[in-house]
Amino acid sequence: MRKMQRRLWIGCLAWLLYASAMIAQSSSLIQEGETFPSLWFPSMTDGVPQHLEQWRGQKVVVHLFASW
Amino acid sequence: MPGWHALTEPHRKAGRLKVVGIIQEQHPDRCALFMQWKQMDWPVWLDALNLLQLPAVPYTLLVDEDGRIESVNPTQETFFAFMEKPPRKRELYSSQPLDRSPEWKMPRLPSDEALEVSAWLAAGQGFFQGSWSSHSMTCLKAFQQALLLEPENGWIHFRLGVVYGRLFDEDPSKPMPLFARAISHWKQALALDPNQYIWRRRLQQYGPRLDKPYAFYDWIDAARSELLARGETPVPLKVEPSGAEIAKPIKDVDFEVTGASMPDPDGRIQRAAPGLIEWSHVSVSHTQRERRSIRVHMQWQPAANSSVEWNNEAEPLTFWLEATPGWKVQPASIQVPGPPMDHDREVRSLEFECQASEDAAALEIRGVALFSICESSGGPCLYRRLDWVLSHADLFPRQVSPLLP
Repeated sequence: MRKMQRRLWIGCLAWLLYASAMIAQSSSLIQEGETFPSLWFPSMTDGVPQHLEQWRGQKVVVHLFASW
Repeated sequence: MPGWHALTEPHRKAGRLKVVGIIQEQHPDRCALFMQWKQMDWPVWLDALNLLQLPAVPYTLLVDEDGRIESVNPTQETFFAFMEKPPRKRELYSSQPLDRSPEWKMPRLPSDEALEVSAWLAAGQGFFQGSWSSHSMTCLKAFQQALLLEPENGWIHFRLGVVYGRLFDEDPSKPMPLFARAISHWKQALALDPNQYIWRRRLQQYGPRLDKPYAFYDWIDAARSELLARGETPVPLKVEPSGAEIAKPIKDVDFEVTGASMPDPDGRIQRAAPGLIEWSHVSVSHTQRERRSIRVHMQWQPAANSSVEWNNEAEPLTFWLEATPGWKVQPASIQVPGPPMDHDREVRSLEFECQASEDAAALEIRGVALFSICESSGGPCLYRRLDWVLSHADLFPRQVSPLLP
């Protein structure tokens, strides 16, 4: 059980390192130290376009993900 | 994300932190089902066009009070330090909390002579993100114009593919040329940047099992079952996942072909008169072994200018498939049942795959379709056979012109 947990932890850590390196090398608009890009995204609740600007002055955690 | 949820929830509930998800998906309703299943009660936005230009997912970002990305994929310690850090412009923002989105403005389509790719892209993106339902064709035009100016831009190809994919999904008649264009643009995008995993995934979603890292949407069944068990009604899907999207990956090609036997070996069943039934196909190749593994999507339906109908009281539309030696077709025999009504003229969809052995020749697929059709509503019904062929050129087409109507 411990062995499995350790492997899982190592796997997660490896992904974090790999993903961070991948995004740094890519043409992604997401880069550490840069301003979050000024873009509009439709809300999943009502389809109304939303902008991260609405939370200026507050700390934000942004999860970028997919269901697949 | 479950770990992050536990970590951020106390701060979010105390009003010290905002949490938002941005999801890379083609289908909004599938996102909504996913959110319902995972009980996400924080805002989630949709980035079907990958405007963030992400090479892959998932990522978690810490964004400070000035909108600056402080950390990508932070550790727990980085998150704690982030929360304790005083805001850099406290005096400015504490008196001016926005807490609502700025007002979105409808984009303007540039004049036909405009030569700035960025102007066409901004218009296409704006119409897609904010007013798709009323401006889908304007959105398409904007991306097409952008591609005319920059035909080697992978991002424009990818986004044009997303636009064609959505047009295909939303059209009840599911016209295959739209799906063909989506696949063609995604292929061209990936050829321009093979390191873009999100583009690769889009093709793998519809491609052969040998190219699948995982089953893309098999979670939908599990989500529905769990939601029903919780006493909730699952969000309905406008577009159910296709066979390709829920197919389980395979690692190797098994060449012990044990196909079904030909249902009419002596050819005794009368052939259908030409022009009664139409069929079309789109093939999606393995993203790395293009000529060795392929998934074929087909549609069959009564011809638009005929009055024939499928006869659902007889046995269902049946296919038997055979490929060039050295290729394996799966499944070799397919039945496509009709809806629960006596007759109809709806599209029948089917999918199958072909995998090659090392010494396989150029692929050609020969098929036999057996079906019962009625000449018109109330007219005589006949059981007929239609023999068809998909040549190598049909299965591995050259690029589709992006500007054809």
